[in-house]
Amino acid sequence: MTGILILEQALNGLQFGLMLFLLASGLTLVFGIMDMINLAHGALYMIGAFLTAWIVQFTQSFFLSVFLAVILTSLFGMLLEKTLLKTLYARDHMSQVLATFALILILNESVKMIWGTDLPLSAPDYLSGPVEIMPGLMYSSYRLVIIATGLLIALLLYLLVSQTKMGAWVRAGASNRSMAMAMGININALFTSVFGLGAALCAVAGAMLSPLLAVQVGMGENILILAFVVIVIGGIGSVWGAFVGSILVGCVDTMGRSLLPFLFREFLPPQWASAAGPAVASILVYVLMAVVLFIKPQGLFNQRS
Amino acid sequence: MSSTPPQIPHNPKTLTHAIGLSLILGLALAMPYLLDKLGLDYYLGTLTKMMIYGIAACSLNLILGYGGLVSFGHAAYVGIGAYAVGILISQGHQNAWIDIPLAVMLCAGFAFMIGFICLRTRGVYFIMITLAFAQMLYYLSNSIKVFGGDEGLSIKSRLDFGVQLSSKSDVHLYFVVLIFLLLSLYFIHRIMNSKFGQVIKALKDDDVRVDSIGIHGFKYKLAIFVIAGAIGGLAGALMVNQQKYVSPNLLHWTQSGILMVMVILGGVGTLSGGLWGALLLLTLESVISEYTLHWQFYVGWILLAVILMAPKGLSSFSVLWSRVSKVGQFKHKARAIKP
Amino acid sequence: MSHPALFEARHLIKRYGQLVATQDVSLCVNDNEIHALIGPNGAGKTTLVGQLSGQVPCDSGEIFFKGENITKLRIDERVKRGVVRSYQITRLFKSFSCLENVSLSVQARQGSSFSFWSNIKNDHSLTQESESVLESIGLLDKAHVLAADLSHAEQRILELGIAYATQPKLLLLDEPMAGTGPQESELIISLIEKIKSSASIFLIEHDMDTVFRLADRISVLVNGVLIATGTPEEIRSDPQVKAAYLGDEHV
Repeated sequence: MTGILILEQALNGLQFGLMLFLLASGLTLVFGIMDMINLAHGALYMIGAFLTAWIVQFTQSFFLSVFLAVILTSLFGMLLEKTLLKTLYARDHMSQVLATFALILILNESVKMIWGTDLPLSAPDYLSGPVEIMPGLMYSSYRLVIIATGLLIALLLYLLVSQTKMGAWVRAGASNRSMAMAMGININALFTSVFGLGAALCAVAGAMLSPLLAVQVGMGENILILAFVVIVIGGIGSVWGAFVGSILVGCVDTMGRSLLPFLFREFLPPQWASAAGPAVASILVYVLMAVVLFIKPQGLFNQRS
Repeated sequence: MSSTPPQIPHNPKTLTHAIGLSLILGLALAMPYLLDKLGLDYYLGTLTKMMIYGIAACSLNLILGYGGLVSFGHAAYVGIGAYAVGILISQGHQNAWIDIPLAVMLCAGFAFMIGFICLRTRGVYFIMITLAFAQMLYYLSNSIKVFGGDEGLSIKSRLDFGVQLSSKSDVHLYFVVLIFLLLSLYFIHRIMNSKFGQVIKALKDDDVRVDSIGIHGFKYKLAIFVIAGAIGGLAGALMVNQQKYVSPNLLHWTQSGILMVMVILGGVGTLSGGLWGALLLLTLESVISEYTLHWQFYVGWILLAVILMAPKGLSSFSVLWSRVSKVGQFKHKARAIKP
Repeated sequence: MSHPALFEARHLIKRYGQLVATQDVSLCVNDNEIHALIGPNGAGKTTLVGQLSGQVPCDSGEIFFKGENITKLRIDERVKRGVVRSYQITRLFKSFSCLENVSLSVQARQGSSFSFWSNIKNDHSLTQESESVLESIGLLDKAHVLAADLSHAEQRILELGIAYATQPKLLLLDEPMAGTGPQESELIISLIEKIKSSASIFLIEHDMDTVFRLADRISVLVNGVLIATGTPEEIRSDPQVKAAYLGDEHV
């Protein structure tokens, strides 16, 4: 186990964390502003991936397909919000959980009916080779592109939330929705836009991660849980909390899975290590969440007043 | 002047209730013989499975329906119960009178530890942390190869109850499960009508107010959480016994979701709501699967419709009915008093 | 005073970030006394009551009840000792009937509710005591009406009833009159006078007539600071109080 390996895994963690951030930020905003739990957020991620994989068959260009898929998913998200989801804002959390759970069932099966259970998608050829970013460390150029994309979007999101008028409305809504409404902010348009933005971010993550993780029905659920863990750790409504949480969760999960078995093998008898390694690695993130919630039951950077 | 509720002899509502229940019970007892006569023996296993899910859903209803605690990790207890009994059987311990209590107590223990941490949180944090714990257990069961790992655990034989209620194993199991179902329902009925049950119902309305009148709400939440976990474990124990198989999928969060769906379909906060929800959902699944692979698509729409239009599930209609008939009761009593 | 106060708060401080909601507040309530707290909106009265009842933890300071330090005790532990709060915004158990609402307080007072098997409807002592509480607050005829279906004034009275049923020694009443008309106010005032014989009351109210009519002593809270404490006459003539608060009130 060398430093190079650790560094490589740290980069993988960063890469995964940044994509997780794309999902988590949308989720935390929807939750923070509209007070709605949306389990179907993962389905939007899946739809983004499927659309990209489908469109690329016609355009032959990876990034163009991603672009188109993002727009389509965003539009779909906004349509969903305007028709169904807005009726859930006033409802209690349990109803929201169940309604969006129903939505997952419907969307998963719909995708299956249209495209089947999976579609192939690979990274563009010109990015398939590794790049030497440090003496002795070769890293996948595609993963570097993901990291760059993630950082760029994070920066844009930060500028949007902190510098623009819309961002101010979003922050007001996240910390005190009724006050924001009383101050005359066009709440319906804001909600729809926030949802559309969240859907777009999901699509980017879905499309970008697919060459690494595979495009398949149900891909949304696994990453959704992690996104929820992130926003719970980070604090609901806080985009900064989502960022910190995502990087934390991304690194803990990725590095845990790859490095922990090695670590265990150094200190434990082999038959224990091979069982304990993967087991502990997979629950590490949840242990992290339980610890955070035990100390700060409202998350690290909770925004709600 | 006392104000006890009108005790009307020959209350038509209780009479219809009693008749209805007797009919259902009679049907349930006669079912194996009916199915045998109709050559539909296969469905006995399905019915047994439905009753087992019914027990699981009723246990979730305790904390979700009555208590208002949206636990998204209830499948974990069903899974723990199933694995506990599965492992015991595969190690050669088949005595039901030892295995089942052990499994139930193990679940109660887990529920105590998990509840102790989770119940400190509220709202969505509670939902998420219950989900997280269930996921933890899911991943654990997936990785521990000794217990089958992701392939699950198959067992060769079933629990030995000492008495055989029928020479046919499936019929015997049907009656065993029916007895456990009735016992569970009776147990739930007693606790929800007790002082303890009253506290639980109050906690759903306003848990801080419960503290404000001198009851340490947390203790009661934890207690009902443990009871629900224990009964969920019972369901799991019966399930592995019936399927002769348990896999990590039983603990997956989508399973918790399915249990919640059963509760809402059948009626939140009613005694047998979980049972009817389980029957309804599993019947829908069977029936729709006959026509299409995409049964989840149709069930999704049905569920969505129910949430949007009848938020308390099928019991919305029964709550409406009972309020209407209560008004009828008072009018009846008033007429009885006036000369 | 040779004999210690029933209830005493010393140097309570509560901060919310930069805002100091409670600044070094000390006060006490004696036996069989109605001690009123008045102050402009936003003075921090509800925050203060929250700390006294146990809902809001203080950043520093101590609270004593009958000589015992209760600062670290939970809400329900304080209630068991007799320090009970009633809320400004009604918090009833909406799905329960009037009788069931009061019954729960009686049940809480009678001991542990860890009784799983006996049917609550068969507990006659519970029903009897609950009915007598309902009778004394004038809601016996509404015993089986759902709390959600009561009028606003009836809900305020029930709110008081729930606290009264716990047989408190010190009742923290947070604006009991809020939103009631003159008839209901009279009823609530007579209830408060009835309770006074068995408990001390810490009353937060905006209605000056009520305050000056009922209170034995009055404290004035402005911006988290207790600026004056005294008898109604002392407060009425205190120039500081007049300037800060009673300015446009009819006294």
